[in-house]
Amino acid sequence: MRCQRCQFENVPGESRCFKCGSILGGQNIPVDVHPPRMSKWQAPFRSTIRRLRLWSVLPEECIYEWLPSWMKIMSGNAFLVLILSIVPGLAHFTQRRFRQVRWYLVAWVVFLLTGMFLYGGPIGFLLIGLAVATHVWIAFHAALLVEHQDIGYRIFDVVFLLFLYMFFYWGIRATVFGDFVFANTALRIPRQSVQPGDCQLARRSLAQPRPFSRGSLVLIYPVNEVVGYHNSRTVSGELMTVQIIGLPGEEVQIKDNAFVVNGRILDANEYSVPGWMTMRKSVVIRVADDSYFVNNVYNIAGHGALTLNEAIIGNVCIVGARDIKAKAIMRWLPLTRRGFLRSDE
Amino acid sequence: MRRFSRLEFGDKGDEGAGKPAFSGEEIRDAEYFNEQATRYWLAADFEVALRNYSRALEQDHTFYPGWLGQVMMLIELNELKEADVWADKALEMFPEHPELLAAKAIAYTRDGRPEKATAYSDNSITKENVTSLVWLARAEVLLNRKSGIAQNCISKALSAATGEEGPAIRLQAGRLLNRKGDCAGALQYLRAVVDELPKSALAWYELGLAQARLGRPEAQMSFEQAIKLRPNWQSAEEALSKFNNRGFFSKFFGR
Repeated sequence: MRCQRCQFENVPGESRCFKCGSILGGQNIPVDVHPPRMSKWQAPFRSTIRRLRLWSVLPEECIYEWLPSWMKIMSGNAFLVLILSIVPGLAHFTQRRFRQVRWYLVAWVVFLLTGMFLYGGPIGFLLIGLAVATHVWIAFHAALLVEHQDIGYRIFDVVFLLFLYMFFYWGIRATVFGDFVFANTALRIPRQSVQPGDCQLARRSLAQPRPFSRGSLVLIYPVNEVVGYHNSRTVSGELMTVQIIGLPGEEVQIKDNAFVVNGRILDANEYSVPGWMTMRKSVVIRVADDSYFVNNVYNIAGHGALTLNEAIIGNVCIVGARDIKAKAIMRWLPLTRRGFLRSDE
Repeated sequence: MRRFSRLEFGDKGDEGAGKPAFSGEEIRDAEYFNEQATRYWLAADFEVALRNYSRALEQDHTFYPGWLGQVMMLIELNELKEADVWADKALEMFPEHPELLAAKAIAYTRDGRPEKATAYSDNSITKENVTSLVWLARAEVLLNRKSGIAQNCISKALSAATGEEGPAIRLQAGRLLNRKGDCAGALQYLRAVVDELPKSALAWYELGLAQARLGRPEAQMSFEQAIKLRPNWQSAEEALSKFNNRGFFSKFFGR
């Protein structure tokens, strides 16, 4: 058996050359002779990465080589892998499972970003939920899928991780995005393109201590008023977007389906009067120095024929400056009307 | 057995140099498919060439030129990661083979990884029986690092080329210089190559590219010759169209 490469004469029956180690002919070993091929869609990505490498933007070595050694050691322990998996795909990356990293990360990022974009509506919540579920699966697949073969263990793992990561996401939301809050409105403000049922994005940090100007959309917990034998006044547990009509110290009058502030009639397109405030008799309400007059749709209940008067309207429409929780900055949902709210008057 | 040891030259190629003397159906062994692959490579049809190298290996998986050819075709097709993987597989069959190490060096240098490319190239030239391909790979790595001694490596590659390999190595040298922008240097090799391999569409195309970059009107004829040899070749047609439609300043300054 002569080696094709080094021409060394080997003992018959040998599979490899004694001198150079090359494979020798005459062996019936099945060998795959068809090379792997690049998918067409990969070509532009590869080309971009190559260019970035040539421009020294990307390192020559795989980023895996940059990982600290302790991180690679962690990848051997299931519990530590769960900790690594707080960053989605990191555990897979330390285990050199780059394909998983790629696909899982793409799925997670797509769910998360789309969910954030649609946050505030049911689809948004669903997508955020899917992002959490993907994150859970990434961690589960990296750490426990191989170790726990029993179906009971696996279900327990998934449920446990689901709660763990939901808590984690809730914490992230509260700490990083805690300043932002969403609320619906019952108002119709044509000039701001706001319709009843719309969802607004608001910032808490803009609520205090800045004084508000007329027309600002702010978030409050609306008041429920029961008039009659059992007079009661409760605050709703859900934030709502309302519009500031009267500033501290001003006199607000509701007359002919319009607000009149200190004798000036406000444009009904921008300061529309809710239906429940429309009355035959004009009422005048004076706003206290540390309060605002806001308009909204409130829950007012009463026994028998209910007559609205200054006291009832004052009770539900006068809001203390401290009770304003946030200031709306964007029309968030529906998407067709998404945009920044106009600046104040 | 070398990859280019059975090249066809000019009209002689049609007669099938090195083919069995008897008439009748050809023996479709690894050699046959290797020959076909080389023919397709000279026609710049790298995809079909790769397929033929695979078929050669289907006949005989210990056929070394088939493995090297596959790796080189993957590089030609710009599938560098796959070329690297496949070179590793070939190295399992032929450990420490300098040409496979050199092929890996080429794949790395084209993939923008000069450090690794240099390491593989260094490794390849320390082996015994350093071939032209190893020196050409060395030249490419050095040209990529803008080293002045690349030309020496090309000279060594040409001097290391055995008789029948010469035109193919000159073609590769010309292509390398063309790719690196040394069109005048490429021209001197490619002119010789088209005399030796007049039926190679790849040689004419590369010559046309070098001439076009230097603003030579002969580029049109070279591209046309390439298209004649390989009809409907998109790259050559595009190059010809680009050359014919070049602007006033390009024509005026000969660029």
